[in-house]
Amino acid sequence: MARLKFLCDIDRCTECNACVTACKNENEVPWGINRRRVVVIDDGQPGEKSVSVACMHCTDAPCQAVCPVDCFYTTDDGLVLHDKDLCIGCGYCLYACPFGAPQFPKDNLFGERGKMDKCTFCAGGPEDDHSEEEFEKYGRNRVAEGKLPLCAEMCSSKALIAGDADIISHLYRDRISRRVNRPEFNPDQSVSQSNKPEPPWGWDAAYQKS
Amino acid sequence: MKTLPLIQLIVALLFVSLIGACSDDARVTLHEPHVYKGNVDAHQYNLLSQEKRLQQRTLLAFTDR
Repeated sequence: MARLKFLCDIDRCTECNACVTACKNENEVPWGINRRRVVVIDDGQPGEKSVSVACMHCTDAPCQAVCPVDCFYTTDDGLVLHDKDLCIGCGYCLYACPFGAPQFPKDNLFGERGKMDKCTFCAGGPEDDHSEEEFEKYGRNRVAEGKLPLCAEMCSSKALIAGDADIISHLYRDRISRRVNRPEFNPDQSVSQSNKPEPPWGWDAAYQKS
Repeated sequence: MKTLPLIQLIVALLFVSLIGACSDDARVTLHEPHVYKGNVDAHQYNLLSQEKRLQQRTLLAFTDR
């Protein structure tokens, strides 16, 4: 059985935030909740990096381990999903998650935390596929339609990739192997170089530096 | 004299409802640590048919450049 995973190529992400917008629009995520967000490291500095982060659907998910009502379940394809009817909004999953993926609505009366909301890999939840209840609670179920999460499918630079872990890891490995020869990834030229031809893309190719 | 049976009837009804409130409800879900007892996700039963489609979709969506 395939395991479905996200992978963000930080050397391609341009911090356009289109993945965030696509997720909110596709799943009609309420105001104040971001299932996906782009984190920028060394913002404004030369060499800054940005990475798109959401639920990573961990193999041994800490949110699942700490949930006092056991509202999480893992599907056979490795997606960590939850049942909002069981969730009591305690927030333990937020403290446990190293990525800050669990989100809580903030517009409830008296500041009540409300039911947890997180990325579902566009796979809905434990309601009937494509039902109104499923869409209201969890968002659209694209996986049941044979589609991948919209955030990844519409990423213009193909930085965010999603799908079968075997395939996306192979894709990323292939990208990295072609990048090794490029000066920006090997500035001191100390790494042994293969005889592969330079790819015709990137800043150095555009300015004819390589 | 006629009100006495009515009072007795009300008391009897109250007694029956109080006793009834102590009974078990079949819908109660007892918690067991690390056991998910929520709704069953039908998505899990369609995985084999979806696997090929998702793999083709992954190749189609991310290998063009």
